[in-house]
Amino acid sequence: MLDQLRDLFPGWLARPDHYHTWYEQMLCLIPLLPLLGFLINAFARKTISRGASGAVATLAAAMAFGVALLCYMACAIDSQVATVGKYAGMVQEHLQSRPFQPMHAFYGTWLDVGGFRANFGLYMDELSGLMTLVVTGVGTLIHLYSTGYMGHDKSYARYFAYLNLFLFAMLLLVLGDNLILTFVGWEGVGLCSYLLIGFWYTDGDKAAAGMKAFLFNRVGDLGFLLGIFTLIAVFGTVDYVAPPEAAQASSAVMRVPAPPAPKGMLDYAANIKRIDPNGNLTLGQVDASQKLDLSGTVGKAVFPSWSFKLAIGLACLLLFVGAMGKSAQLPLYAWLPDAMAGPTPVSALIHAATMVTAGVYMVARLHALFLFSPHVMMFVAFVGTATAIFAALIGLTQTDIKKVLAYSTVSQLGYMFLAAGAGAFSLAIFHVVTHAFFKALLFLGAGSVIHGMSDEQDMRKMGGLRKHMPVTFVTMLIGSLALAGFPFTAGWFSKDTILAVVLAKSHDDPSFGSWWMALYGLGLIAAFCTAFYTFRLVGMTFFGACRADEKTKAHIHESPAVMTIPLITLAAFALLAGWMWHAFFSAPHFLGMPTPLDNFNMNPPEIGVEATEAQEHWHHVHLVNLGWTSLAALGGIALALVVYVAKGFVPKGEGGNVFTTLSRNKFYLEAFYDKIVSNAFILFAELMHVADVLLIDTLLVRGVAVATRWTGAALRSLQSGLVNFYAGGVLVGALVILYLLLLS
Amino acid sequence: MNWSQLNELLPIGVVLTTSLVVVFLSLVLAPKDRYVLSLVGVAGCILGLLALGKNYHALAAEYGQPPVFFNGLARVAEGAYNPVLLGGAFVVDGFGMSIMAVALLAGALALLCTTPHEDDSALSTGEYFGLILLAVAGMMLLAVAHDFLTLLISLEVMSVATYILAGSARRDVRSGESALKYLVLGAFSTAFLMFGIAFLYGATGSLAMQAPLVAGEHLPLVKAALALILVGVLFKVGAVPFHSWVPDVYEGAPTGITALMAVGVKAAAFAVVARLCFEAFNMVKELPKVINGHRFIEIVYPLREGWLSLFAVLAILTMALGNLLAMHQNNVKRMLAYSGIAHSGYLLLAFLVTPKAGGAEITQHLQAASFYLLAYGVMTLGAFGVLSLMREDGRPMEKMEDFTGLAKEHPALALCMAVFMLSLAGMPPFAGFFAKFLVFKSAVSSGYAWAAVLGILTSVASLYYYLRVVVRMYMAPAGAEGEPAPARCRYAWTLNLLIYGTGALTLLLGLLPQWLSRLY
Repeated sequence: MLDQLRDLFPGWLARPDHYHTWYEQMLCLIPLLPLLGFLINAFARKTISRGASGAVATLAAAMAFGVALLCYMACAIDSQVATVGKYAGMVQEHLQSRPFQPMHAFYGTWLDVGGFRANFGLYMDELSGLMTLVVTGVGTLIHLYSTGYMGHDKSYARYFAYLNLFLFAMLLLVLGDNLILTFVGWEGVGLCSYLLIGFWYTDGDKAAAGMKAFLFNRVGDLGFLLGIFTLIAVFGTVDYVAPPEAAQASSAVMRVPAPPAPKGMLDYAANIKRIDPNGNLTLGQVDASQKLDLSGTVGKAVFPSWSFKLAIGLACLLLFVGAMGKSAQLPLYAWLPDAMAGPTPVSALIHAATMVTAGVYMVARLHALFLFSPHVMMFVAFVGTATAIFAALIGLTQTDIKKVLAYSTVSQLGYMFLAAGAGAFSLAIFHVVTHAFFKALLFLGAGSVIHGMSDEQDMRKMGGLRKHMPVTFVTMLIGSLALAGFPFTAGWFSKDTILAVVLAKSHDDPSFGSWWMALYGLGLIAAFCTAFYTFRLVGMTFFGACRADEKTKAHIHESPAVMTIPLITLAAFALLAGWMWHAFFSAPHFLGMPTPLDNFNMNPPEIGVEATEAQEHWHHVHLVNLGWTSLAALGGIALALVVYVAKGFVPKGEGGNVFTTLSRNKFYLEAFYDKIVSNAFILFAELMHVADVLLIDTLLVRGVAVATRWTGAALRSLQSGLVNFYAGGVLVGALVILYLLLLS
Repeated sequence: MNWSQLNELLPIGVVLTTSLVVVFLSLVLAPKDRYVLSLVGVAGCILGLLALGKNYHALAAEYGQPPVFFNGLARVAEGAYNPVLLGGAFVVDGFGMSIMAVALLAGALALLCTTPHEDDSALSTGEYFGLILLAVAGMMLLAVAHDFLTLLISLEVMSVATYILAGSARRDVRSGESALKYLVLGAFSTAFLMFGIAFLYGATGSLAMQAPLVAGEHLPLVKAALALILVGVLFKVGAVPFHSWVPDVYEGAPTGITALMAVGVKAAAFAVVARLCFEAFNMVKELPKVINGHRFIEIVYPLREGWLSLFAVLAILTMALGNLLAMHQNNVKRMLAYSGIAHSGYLLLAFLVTPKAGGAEITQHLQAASFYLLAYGVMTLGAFGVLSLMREDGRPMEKMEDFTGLAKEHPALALCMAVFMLSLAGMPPFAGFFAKFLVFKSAVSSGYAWAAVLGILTSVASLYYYLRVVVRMYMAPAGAEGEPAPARCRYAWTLNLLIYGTGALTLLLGLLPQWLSRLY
């Protein structure tokens, strides 16, 4: 039928060999459907019923997921096969044989100023496609869950409007084909996060938590913006890849030669051939040690004698500061635990599965640039590991069920940055994906528990819930196993390979070798802590005797089906998603990124003998690591089970030794922010206020205004209304001009 | 002569024909039905715009997008669309077309602003509408005139019509004063222009726009000639020191005519400034080099170079004076007149082009200028439109106080007026911001950053008087009870429609400037 359509509309389906273009036009539906849902819920919230508003929002998310799936399939396999179901058997074959064909849809020019151009364009390659599927897929489930969880809330439509707006912004962030669009999405998700954390804004603490999240993010955003500016200075463009040809057509009839076709940033960096053990790059065309060729970019003035590598390094460092804010890394992590003030599904979607991983996504998106700068990569790995261990230690003593999960999220994000810093970008994304499943599951499970416990969040008042809430218990147990890294669950696959890569790096990286060993050790300890606090949570919540008061106890119930169905679905993914590790790990250049093997010369292309040796070495490393990580995970789980299940220990929340005090008080870092940093800012602001009133308001503003009025009044006398006076003015002016011109 | 060649001038032909039709129709229509004339005139303007659109597409199809500017040296082959007409007397290029569009919009607004039910019979006679259309035709001709003879004739077609129109409110003393001042000073400036043209012809034996190219040994005379021509044109533009007529003439003329002068006349005059700057100011110098019998020539830009700083100084003076004096006006119409002077100053910044600038830079400057003219045209027309609606017992209400509390009585009109004022001040989401941005950017790229900085400062100062209107409308308490609500004219819905349209366009051009720059 499509063939007949194509005969009817020859121009409509432009590329005859496949239907890529058609899907390209559909790409914009992915962010626009949630936007439509937002508009409906925002403007018709007074008129449509509660059921309708939840249905609209959920449907918008589900349809976005459907379109995303279609587009992804169209990229991954020949879409003719995708369209006609009876060839389904061929799908597998195509997946393996045919490279992923990115889609780049161009919808128009947004800004075209001074040689700088930003487009409305969406770009779906393996990386953004996968993220889109996760965002819309998990998003749909959480929308569905929310229809049950938020059932009693009076601002039902407002909630769903925000949630849909968040999806729109997140999809713009992921799919945008240039940094400016990504930044718009970046700010958009920040805004939605703020709105949803402070969703119950009548509660002063919750509103303050929203403000805190916003402020911490602003600090990071400053770095991100500066990073974008640096990249504009270096490349003169913000496009990831060159826009499609139609967008480049430009000419004017004064016969202006069309400017050379702009290239995207990643096009410049794409010709990296390989990275040698010292972290130096061998490039196809650009030599990293060369001076920048910045002719025609503003960078000439900004970086007069910088090398390409140095300028890119600066940009990457600044961009990573942005990622630190958004993805809650040390020292900008403190907003995320407070963000738990929002409704629990929001914590699951925004503060665990999607938004907080935006920083990881951005680093992966620009991985070709980060590869230019091994020192920045090392910094990324350091920050990631420090955050992973720091947050895991705090998680050991928290008693609020959501706080435990929040610190665990911070810690897992640390692992992702550790992977990115080690050059295993695809593994970072792998962990993003598996983490999205099991952490969303854990949050939704926690939500189910809180729902059943009449909004009680303190684990000390729970216990024994496995009898009352069997579905929640089983699904949460699966999620916990995945988070703890129990063998063959999703979390095990991703975390284990990350640590394996770090261990391998310690052998192969001559410049930072021992550092990598230290990071590996810390990573293992954090893995042990993770397993411990996860099963501490399970033990305190689901085992032992119920510690709730009678009234609550009588009310405990399993959640309705709209809430348990997402739990079961996510549990299935948390169990099984790990099995796609093969695709992440060994397929050449998955996600368009070098695989970890490429990165440290274990799998050098085209040299057969060395390759086997290197691979054997890698297998050895992997096996050693497997032993250690399994020990850490099983040890942590066992210890927690002994303490909290067998002995039924319940922490008192005060006293204890030095370590527990430190951990419970978050090593006093957050207190430091609250007391010292914010007070210093307030003092500074007071000073500025005084200076503003005295200097700016009084002297400058008033002074200039008065001076301007006087001048105007004086000039008025020239406008006498007499024609001969005017004519005289013209004559004098003409004479002056004549005189000046004849002199020149 | 091939008549199809004149297709390119069709929009002008349409307007001229309509003006004749209107004059003849006025003979057969009863006086009370004369409002039909203005509608016929508007229909003519719309037809003209349609013809312009058709021509624009033909031009774009022939020469690719965006068709900007043809200088006299461009070799243009015979094709389906010929921008160069009648031996170079007219060049109907993209820039000229954008000016024509502004003139047509201004004409439509001027036609709709009239109130024929007033007892002032002059306003409602057929000649009045015919003259507006004639003036518009003159502006359109001026926008594409490409030799000094057609330039002079077009200028006079436009000017003579506006002299009469300025005095058309016969019972109003101020209108008579306005017409007389305009006529005397206009004639004075035209004398400069004609002297200039005569000198140029004497020196080069040519009236073509690129005549200065062959100045040769008569360079001083050609320089003097161009200076005199420029004085004539800068007078029409209202640049300091040739601005003094503007406030008196604008204030006295009927509001619709003031809008026509502030937008149409200014746009047409700026078209001439552009042609002078980018074409007439070039000169050919013969190099002593001879290779294989070919003598080599080099185009030099002595005039462009000499004029640059003068233009910058004139621009600064114009901006500063216009804005400073506008602050003290209590009459909104007079305030808008001074604001018009200031905007001429901003526009002059777009013509600061470095002597060696190539086609791409000139294109950028011209885009800035034409965008500015369109944006300024749209928002100024809208503001004058609102002003002409403000009437009480047939007397215009032009004082600041008259705007008090307008937002309560006519929220939509007040909103539009606020949009126009903020846009004129150059506030971001509106067209005025982007227009100023483009102009300042082009000044900076030519190395006149100081001029751009001064421009931005004066633009900040201008916020004061534009906001006065907004504050009056929205924040000032509506005075004593019983303060009369502004009455409206009989067929105001057409004018209201136009005001809403210009309001929307002001916002649209600010939000999507790219949409327009696709057109040029």
